[in-house]
Amino acid sequence: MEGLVAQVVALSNPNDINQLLTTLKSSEAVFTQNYQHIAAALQTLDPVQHSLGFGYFLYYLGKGNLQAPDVAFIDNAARFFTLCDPAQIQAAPDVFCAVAKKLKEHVLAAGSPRRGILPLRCGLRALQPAPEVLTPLHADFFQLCLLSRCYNAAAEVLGQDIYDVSPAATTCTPTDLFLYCYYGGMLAIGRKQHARALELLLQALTAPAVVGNAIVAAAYKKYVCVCLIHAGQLLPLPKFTSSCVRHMVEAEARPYADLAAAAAARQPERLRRVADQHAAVFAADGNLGLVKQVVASLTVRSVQRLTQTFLTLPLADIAASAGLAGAAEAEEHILRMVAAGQIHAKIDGRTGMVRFADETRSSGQAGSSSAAAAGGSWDNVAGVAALDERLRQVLELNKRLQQAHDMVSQDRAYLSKVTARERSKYDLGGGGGGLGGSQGAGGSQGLGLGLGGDGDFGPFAAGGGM
Amino acid sequence: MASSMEEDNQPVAAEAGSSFDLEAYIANYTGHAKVDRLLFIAERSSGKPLELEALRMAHDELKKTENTARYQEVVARIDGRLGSAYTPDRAWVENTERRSAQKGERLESELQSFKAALMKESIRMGHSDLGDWAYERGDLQTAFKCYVRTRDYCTTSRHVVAMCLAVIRTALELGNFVHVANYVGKAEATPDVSNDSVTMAKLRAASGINLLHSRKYKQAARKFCEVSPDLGTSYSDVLALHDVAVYGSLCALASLDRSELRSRVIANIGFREVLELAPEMRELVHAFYNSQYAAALRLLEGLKPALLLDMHVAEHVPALYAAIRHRALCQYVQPFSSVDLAVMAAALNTPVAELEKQLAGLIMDGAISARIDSATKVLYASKADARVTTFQRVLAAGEAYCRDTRALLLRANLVQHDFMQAGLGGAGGGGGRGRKDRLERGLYDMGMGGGGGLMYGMGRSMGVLI
Repeated sequence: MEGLVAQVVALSNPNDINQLLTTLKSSEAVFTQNYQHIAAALQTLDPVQHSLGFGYFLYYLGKGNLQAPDVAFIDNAARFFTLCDPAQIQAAPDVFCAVAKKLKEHVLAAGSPRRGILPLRCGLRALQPAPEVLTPLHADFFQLCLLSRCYNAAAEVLGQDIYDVSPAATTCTPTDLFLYCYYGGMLAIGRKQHARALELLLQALTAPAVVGNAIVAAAYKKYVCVCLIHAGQLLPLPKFTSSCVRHMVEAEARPYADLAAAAAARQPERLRRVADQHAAVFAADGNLGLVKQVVASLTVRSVQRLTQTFLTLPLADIAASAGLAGAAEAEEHILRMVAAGQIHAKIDGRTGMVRFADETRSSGQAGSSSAAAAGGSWDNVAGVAALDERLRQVLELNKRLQQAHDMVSQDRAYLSKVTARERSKYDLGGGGGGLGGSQGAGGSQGLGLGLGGDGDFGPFAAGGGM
Repeated sequence: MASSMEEDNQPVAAEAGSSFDLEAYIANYTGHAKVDRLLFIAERSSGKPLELEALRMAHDELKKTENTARYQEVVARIDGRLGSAYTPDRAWVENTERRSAQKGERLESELQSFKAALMKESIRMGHSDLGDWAYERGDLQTAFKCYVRTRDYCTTSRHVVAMCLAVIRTALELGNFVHVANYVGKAEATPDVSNDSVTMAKLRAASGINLLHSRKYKQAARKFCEVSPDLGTSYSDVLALHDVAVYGSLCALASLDRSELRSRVIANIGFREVLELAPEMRELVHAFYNSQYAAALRLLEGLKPALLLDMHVAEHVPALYAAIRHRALCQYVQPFSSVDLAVMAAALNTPVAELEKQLAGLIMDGAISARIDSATKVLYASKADARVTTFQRVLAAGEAYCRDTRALLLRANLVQHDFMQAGLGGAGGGGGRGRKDRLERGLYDMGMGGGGGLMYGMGRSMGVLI
């Protein structure tokens, strides 16, 4: 054991890190035989300078029969994650992730998930080669944020878009992705960012899949609820959703389909009935709160529709058309909505008449984009800035698209297919232009091989023009 | 027949039956249409004196035909309520059946011999006669089959048209509207048919009925308006020219805008002639066009009982009436920037509260761009702020594009890493053999929904490969 520690100390520099890794990988026996010395050995190592070795020691320490909430382990791991050297730990992502999972177990067992949040966030950042890469730690980090109700702690990670999974660098599995989307969606719901939640949940639903899984089913249930709250109706799943997911959600989420139908029909009575009828199911899925929000959002939505139709309306009529019990309840709702900025209205208490403000001035309030509400008239700096920001995002995305496109164009498997197809075309005398027209994205490689693609990048240009 | 009216056109005649001149009405029809309409009327007015009158006439009519099954049905429905003359006549039934069966056998054997001799024209005639025989017997399915069989033996375009007309008539009675549309199309495609105004009128009337039943009122209106008055009584076994006027103007009022109403109905010389047969309809159309909505709506109410006894239009009366009413409201409101609801209610002959509700519905559906001041009962037209809406739409489009593209890039990456939830055990990076195929399939899936145009092109080229 002492030898190993000495080696770790000696080889923990950028040049010898691979050698150290080989040594550590082959010394499993040393760890298991000297299990009781690991904790002591850890004290001699520095988590910053000897990150790789420290990680391995923690790994074997956690792997053994450690009593679940082990304070020393939590302390060590927390220190390690917060301080570790990214260059070193990226050499052994599997070990790193396993330690993170252990840490999560321990803080959960200790009943203080909050303690794991900071270490995991630092660890997650350390493991990521770039901020857009998913790691297995994302899901664990989100889970801890959820359990400790520190939704805002996840804001930064949640706001970052994920474009890459690169399993080689981070040992990600599809399950990690699904959990990331699911927990991320829940966090976004918790932060009332419904658009972002929908995006994340939809990513889980549309990920390529050949079998259904429980995470996707749960994500779909949440998706239905958030859709109803955010858009007032169930948006259909995109065409590219794999068929097995479709089948599964049809079979699994029938009460949710009822809910969606009732909400789409804008019948508050029916919606309430469905919510009550399936309350047990919703509660079992942990969605009862969301379902309640759905019911409440229908009222808000109906009142909002009234504001677009009426300039003034008696409270009693509002109650009747929004399915509320009476004028008093309607008044209460309107007061709350005005306070929340959902509508602009004044109530004449003497006559019971509500006067809705002119919506055209402020109709941007419904838009979720950052500065859409900036006065609503779009002739000020904020409005221009919002447009500018959006344009910048679009251009950035286009750059990414271009990269992705180039990458596919250079993919060996794709190229060989195209070449084979082109060749057989020529052999059959089927005319040269056959693929050229429909090739679009495949064009550039066609040029590279001299096979007659016309390199048409029209779609990009169209995207950039917005 | 031109003078025959289905009811006196005084709007006060609201009570069904009393004002309904069945004899004059039914004289417009012959053959199956007569019986069908009588039975429909009997069914709709059961318990009233009209029922027995209709049944009596149906009985008399059926006695002249070979349709024993229908006869027995009618007799059963009369149930001895019309005295001894209308009890089951067994001798007649037996005689007719025997005669009819003999005729059928004869036709059958003739057809066999024609077939053996391979005489094309005679085979056609044979099938056609057999069809007529079955039609007379009321066996519509068999008749339909026989008529369709003549198709292969048609040599001239006259034969084709005759076959089509027979099929259309049978299909209409069967309620098989898909075939009606098919065979109308077929008949219209035959050369020379466009010179024959009577045939064209028949075809248009038939497709009008078909469109009416499939609730495509606008297209139905256009078809009916194209029916030329040359039709006369020649189609009386399906519908009378009077019906064309009624159906056509109702559909036109419900679905055509002012300019089209003018060009297709009021300024259409052919249809004007048709409308002469139904003065109450002409009055209605003119009242509506001249914005005398109260008069028009009153006329409509007056027509309702008679329309409800019409077998083709009865089930569409509520929908058509609602559409006409909405159109009246929209047209009334259009020129004003503010409307006093009390005045409008008087002009439309509707209570204010009812009117307000209808207007609110139309505003919510986006048919009218206005807002109601419920306190003072005034409707204010609202000017859409094109600039603000454009800005909002642009931002929304940008947001949607960004969202879709992000999702797309992630999915592309998932596919690239073969990141797919597989069955048990195989989860995650299991690559190998199936990777290439999956890669392509995945891209293809993505392409179908792709954000922007890019992946669509790629998807298609992939599609070509697979």
